[in-house]
Amino acid sequence: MNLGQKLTLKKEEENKVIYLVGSANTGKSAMFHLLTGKSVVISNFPGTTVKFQEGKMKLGKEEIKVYDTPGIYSLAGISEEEKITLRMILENRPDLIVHIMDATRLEKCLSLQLQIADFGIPTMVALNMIDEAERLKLRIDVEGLSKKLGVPIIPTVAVTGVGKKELIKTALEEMNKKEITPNHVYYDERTELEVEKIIHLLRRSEVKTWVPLRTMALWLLMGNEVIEETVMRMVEKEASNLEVV
Amino acid sequence: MKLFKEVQNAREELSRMFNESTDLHMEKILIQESEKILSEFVSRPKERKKDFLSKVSDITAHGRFSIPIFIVTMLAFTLFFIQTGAFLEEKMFSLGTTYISPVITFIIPALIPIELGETLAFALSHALVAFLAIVIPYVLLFYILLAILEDTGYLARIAVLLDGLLSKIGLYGKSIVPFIVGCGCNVTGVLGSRIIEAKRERVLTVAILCMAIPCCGRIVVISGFVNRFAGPLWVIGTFVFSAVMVLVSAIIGSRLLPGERTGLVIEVPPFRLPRIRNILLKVYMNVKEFATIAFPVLLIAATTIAILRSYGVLNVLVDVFSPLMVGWLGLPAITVIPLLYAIFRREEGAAMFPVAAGGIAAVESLLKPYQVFFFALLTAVPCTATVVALKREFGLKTCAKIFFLTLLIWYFTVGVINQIIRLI
Repeated sequence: MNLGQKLTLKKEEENKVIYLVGSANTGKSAMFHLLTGKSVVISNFPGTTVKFQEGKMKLGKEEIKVYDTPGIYSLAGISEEEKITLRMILENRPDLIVHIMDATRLEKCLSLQLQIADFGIPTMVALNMIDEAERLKLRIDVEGLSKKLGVPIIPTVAVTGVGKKELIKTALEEMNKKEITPNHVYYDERTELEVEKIIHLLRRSEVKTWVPLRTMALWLLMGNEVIEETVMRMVEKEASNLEVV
Repeated sequence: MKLFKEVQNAREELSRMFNESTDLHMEKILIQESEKILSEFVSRPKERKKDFLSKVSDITAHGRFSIPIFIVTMLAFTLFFIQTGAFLEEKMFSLGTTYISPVITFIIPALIPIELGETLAFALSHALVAFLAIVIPYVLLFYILLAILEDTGYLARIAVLLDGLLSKIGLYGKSIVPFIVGCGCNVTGVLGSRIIEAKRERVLTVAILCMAIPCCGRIVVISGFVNRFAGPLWVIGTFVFSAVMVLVSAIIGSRLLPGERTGLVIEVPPFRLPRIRNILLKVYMNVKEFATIAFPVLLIAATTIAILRSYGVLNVLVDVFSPLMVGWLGLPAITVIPLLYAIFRREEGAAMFPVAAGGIAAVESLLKPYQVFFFALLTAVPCTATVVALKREFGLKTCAKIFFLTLLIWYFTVGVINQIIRLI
């Protein structure tokens, strides 16, 4: 549900940064190889990528940094991969997140997308392995899904290069958007009330972050360790600044 | 802090209200929402006939045929590996002895006209031929077979099959992932062990990994060296013995280090026909990486061996370790040289043995088959690259513990077997 929150995005001089994010074994590394031409291990074994791989992509005269990330199922910060990925996103604030989904197993990808949307970062979906979905005779209403999620969706086959042009074109458009309106999930009334309270507290404690306060509040409520440690650090920093004064 | 206290209060209040923990409650809403979206925009065909690949997928992952299929596949792969390897080895050997050895034995003594030149030429030519014949064919084949297992998705099914076995003997379920990733290079396995959150389980897993999961270098020692000097049956024997050692150390280790035991959650990828291009690319990347590290080490190893021999240090070294080698392990005294090199890189142990022994033919007359087997087991000590990775991941203390523990276990086991053989 769109709660109508608008975010102004940063304007940067330095290289733009794209993160390839997604569940395990959806083809992130294959996509990384397709976009950057850099050789990485592409495998049909989940968990092959354990660290962030950095590569570069030339778009016109612009050079863009692309990162391959370990596979995650959620951003709850439970497994080590989730923690690493969440921390990297919080620290670096990528200009674009390309969420690689496995078209044959959308059920494992959608709730991750609902969480990614909370960042308020321009996001697009690469609906990967679309050839296998066709073989299995799955019918996916791409346009409807795209409207519902509020992000562009490009069907791709990363290992053969299907959809590459379209993906890059859309990526450029999304990255240069001045403003986006993320779609948030509406939890129930009771939960939303508590979320409001925490937002209020966060505002008062002057936590400074690019992450929407509502998102911070949601994750704090879910007991996300990475967010807790981030808030803790910020508050400590604030306190030490006061002491200096 | 006030903020966290308030958050805690909110969590408690919500969990009282909904009768479940707050994170679970919120997670459920997310999942409901995504299921709603899924049913709205994705439709599956009602009853689809299972195609060939899905059928293969079913019988390999579970059911009563899965384990026989696993054993047969592994045996078939091993036999193919040994046979093709031996064939390539022969070709490369004659290639090396006709083209490389004569050139080296001509050029180097001409450049260095002292005794060292002769020794160096001897070391280099034997090291190069051994590398070309014993190392390269097996590295190449190993990476091809591994890539096929991986890209078809069978590797993930092996993980599931072995997970059942491992959890029965008390090993942590997730251990199987670093084990499988660590086939090929233990360093990758050490890094891959990051997915195990609990420290003790992680250390135990890595210790077993370093001890018994064959990396590419060890595959070379087992398949190249053991196959050449003892025969294919001993190759299978070495693999089986290593597997038994994994089981035994897992059983003992999990008793000594009892901890939480959670099952493995692994995504079993669909069975796919592997793409030749991706396999070739992967094999190329792996072999290239292997060669760029292993080849310079080989040159350095051959040079140091020549220098040490020229100045008589080699004999001192051999004499010092002779009681351990000959008395306890039942191996020729010079075995200490290749074993020292195996600590740098395991495959150098195989490549340097002929150099230390005085030629490939000399190894044949020097070693009995069971001694070849002993040697292969003793090279299972973590190599330098693995030790560096261990130190980075766990710190010096744990790293030293793992290194010396594996060293001790193998030298003890082999020694005991040797003493038993002597008694008989």
